[in-house]
Order: sequence, then structure tokens, then C-alpha cells
Amino acid sequence: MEQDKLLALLSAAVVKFNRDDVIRLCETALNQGIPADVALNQGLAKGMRMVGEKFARQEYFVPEVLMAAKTMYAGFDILKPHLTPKEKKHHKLALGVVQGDIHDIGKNIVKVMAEASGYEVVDLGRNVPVEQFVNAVRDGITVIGMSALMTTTMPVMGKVIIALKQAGLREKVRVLIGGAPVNDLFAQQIGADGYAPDAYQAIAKLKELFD
Amino acid sequence: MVTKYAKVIRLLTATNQELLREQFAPVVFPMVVANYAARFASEKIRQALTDGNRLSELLYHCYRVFDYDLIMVFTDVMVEAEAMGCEIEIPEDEPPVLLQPAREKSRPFTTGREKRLGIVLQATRRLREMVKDETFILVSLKGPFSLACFLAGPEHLLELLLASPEKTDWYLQCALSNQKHYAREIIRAGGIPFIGDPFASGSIISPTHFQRFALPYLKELVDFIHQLGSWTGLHICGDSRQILQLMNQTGAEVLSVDEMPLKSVRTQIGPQSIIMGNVSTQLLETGKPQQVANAAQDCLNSGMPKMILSSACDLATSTPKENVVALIETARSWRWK
Repeated sequence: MEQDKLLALLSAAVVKFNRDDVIRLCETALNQGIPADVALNQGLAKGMRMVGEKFARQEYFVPEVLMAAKTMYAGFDILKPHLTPKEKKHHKLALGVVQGDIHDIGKNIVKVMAEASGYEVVDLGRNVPVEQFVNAVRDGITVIGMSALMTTTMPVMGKVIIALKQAGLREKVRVLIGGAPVNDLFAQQIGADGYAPDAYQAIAKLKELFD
Repeated sequence: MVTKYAKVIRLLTATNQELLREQFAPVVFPMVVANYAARFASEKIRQALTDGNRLSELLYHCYRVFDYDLIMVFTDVMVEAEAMGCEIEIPEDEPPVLLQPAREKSRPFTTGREKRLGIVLQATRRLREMVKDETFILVSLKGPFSLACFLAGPEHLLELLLASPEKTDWYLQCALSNQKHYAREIIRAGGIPFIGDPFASGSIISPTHFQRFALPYLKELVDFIHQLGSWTGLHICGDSRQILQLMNQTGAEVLSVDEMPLKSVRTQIGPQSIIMGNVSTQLLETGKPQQVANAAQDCLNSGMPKMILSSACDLATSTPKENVVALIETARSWRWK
């Protein structure tokens, strides 16, 4: 099969959550000598970007994004052993739902989209203590993405930023925030570097910060 | 003097024209629930979530201090899921956390006293004794879709919508059956079952999925509540612009909407449905009283007469008292032009 056609089919299979096709096409791509990073970036990740666009246009919602992500990972598992470390470009991103909050669907979607866009993601999980974000920066993380669903937990984001300042690490890291109760104004108030209302725009924000 | 009870009944039964003619005064209820009421009394919230008597006292205290028109018994979203077998943790001063979904082991309703169902019902009975027939006591009842999300685990259920509609229906049936029994117990305790369906949000699932997986079960639940002689309401969080008409099809008398322009809500659902809402909870938490009053004014201008002036969602625990007062005062001083 022609490379362009194969990659287009691979993207389409992610968009349609067709797991069997994704697995088959990834294997075919490797057999045909298509580099794994090309299959990832121009096939799987491109599919995920299309999913993100559909999400932004409200054609797709959370279930569709979750299914597409699952489908993408099925292909990613096949390509992973063949990826060379040079694709680990961009910045190292740590994502977490702040302490007291366990609503992590949004964070998980941002994770998928970020990985599909080539970022290296460290998933801190949910109910993440302030200190764990600070330690992540000590360990070389350059971007923190924090999320909260509840008005009761969103102030914790401000606490993380204060803790980063106290540890003298604030200049070493960019802080992005998201979640239902959060907005641009709140981001400014707590001194975050940016806010995104959904996963698609979170990735756009990441690019805006670094590219 | 017209009692609050009579005022709400009038809102439920009179036509728009009649209410206009009477220069009907707005019904007002900022969504004060357990955690806010606990903080208001400078207490940690866990006791309010686990002790029916204390819960009733805290809610009663706020009702008396602010003198709004309704009472709502709502502790947290996990009550029914926990009773049906989900493992949860209740931190001292935070909302409960889902540790382990019940999945296939989801237990149907048995006595109505499992775990914290009994606490909610106890609080409802106590409040009924305290307020006598002064007003209605709304009691939170999870929508079948959201309950199914907790039973299966939210991400798992959302994937099932696409992967296995049959399995999704199994969870939904299980949830619906429980909620019918629980609704009956709520009514017996003297409450009005008030449905909250946060996962059926237009921010989470598509209108197509809402129509297929949320609407039929909501409709059956609402019909059942009506058969028991009660009215009901439906609150859905997030962006529900695309599902407003479907929400209206459930037959719930009151539609409670999150932050969105109320004018377009009114246009979409027509003049006869009662809208509950929707002053931004964030504005209530961080704004000035005058800003709250202006926002409340806008809501009333767009929504009256079939309207319960309220917050867009439940009040954040740190909402200043002055802002709650500003919301209520705006309703009290509002006049027809």
C-alpha cells in the first residue's frame, strides 16, 4: 500500500475507533518499512488531532474521545518498541488533578492529546498533593498541567504556585490550568501561565507557549 | 400572608397569564446544600454527610438565617452508588471519593436504609417536622445515567455507550430500578425527589447519546414520581444548550440549568416550563454583592414568571454570606415593569 494512503487510513481508523484496523495498519506500516515515528505522527497522532477538532466542533464528546484514545494506544503499543528516542522532543509535561479532587476524565483526555502531539507526559494522577507537583519540577518537569472540577478544590492550584515560588522553582516551569469551574481570570489571579477550556485548546496553549 | 408552600404551588399550577396578572413575586432558592451549611456553622463537612440529625439542623439553620423559599437535602453525589455497593471514602472536610465502582456486583434497592440513604431520609423527616407545611423539601435523587456512571466507573460507562449498548442498558436498568424505590421513600419521608444528572451533561455526552441513554430512563423515573403524586425537577450541570428540549421532554416540572444565557434557555423551552437558575456559582463565590444582584436581575428579567431564582449549581462553601443575601434580596425587591 502507498504510504500516504496507509497513513490516511490509520488516522481514519483512530477517528472511527476501529481497533482491529489500527493494529493491522500499524503492523503493515512497520512491515513496509515506514518509520515508526512517521506512523505515529502522521497516522495515529493525526487521527487524534482530528478527534480533537471534532471535539472542539461538538461532533464528538467525551465517550468518543475516550474510545479514540483507547484505539490510538492499541496502535501506539505496536509502534513503541520501534520508536527512536529522538522523538521525545518538546517539553516534559506533568499532569494532575489537584488535592481533594478525583475527577480525572478531563485530565486523562489532555494526557492523550498531549502524548499524541509528541509531549512526554508524566501522569501524577488525581488527588495530587501540592508537594508532588513541586517535586515533579525538581525532577525536571518543565510544564505543569493542573485540573480541578470543583470550586472547593480549585484554590489548591494557587497553593501549588505559591509552593513553587517558595521553593524557588517558579521560573523553571510553565503552569497551565483547566477544569469546569476555572477560567482565564482565575488563572491570572493565581499567577498561572495559561488556561484552556478543553483538551484541544490545552494543546494549542502548549504550542503557543513553546513554539 | 402567602406561605412559601402556597407560592411554590402557585408557580407550579398557574398559567403565565395568571402569574403576570397577579404580579407574581419570584421564588428564590440559592442552592445551599450540606457542605455549605456545614461550613456556614464552621464545622467540617463529614458530620453533615454522615449524621441525619445534624444534617437537618444545619440545613434548617441556613433556611432560617437566609429565609429563602425552598430547602434542599443534598449531601454529595455518591449516596445511592454507595448504597448499591460502590466503595467510597468520606474525607473529614471534602466531598466523598469513589474508590471502587460496584460494577457487576451492583446491589438493587432493598430497605432504603442502606449506608447513607437512611441518613438522607432521616434528615428529610426531621426537616419536615421542623418546617411543618411551610415549604417544600427537595431531596437529591441521582439521574439513572449518572448513577450508572458511578456503578460502572465513569470512564468505563462512557466507553460502554459505544462499545456495548446492551451492557449500558443493564447498568441503567439497575440504576433506574433503585431510583424508583428511593424516590418513593423520599416522598414518604415528606420530600420532593429532585433529580440531578451531572454525567448526562451536554459537556460530556452527545445529544444523540442523551436521547438514547439518558432521556428514556429519566422519563420513566419522572413518570413514576408523577404516579406517586409528586412533582419533580431536573438539574444537569455544564453546557446543556443542545439538550434543553430533551430535558423538557422528561416531563419534570422544574428544569435547573447551569451557567448559560437564560434568555436562550427560555426561548428554547418555551414560556410554560419552570426554569431554576442560574447565577454563576463562581460570581457568587468571588464577586461583589452588586455584581450578584445585577446577574440575578438579568436572570429574573429573562426567566420570569415561571422561574425559581437560584445559583447555577450548588453554592461553593466559601461563598460570602453577603452574596447569598444579595441574591435573595434581588428576588424580594424585584418588581414587574
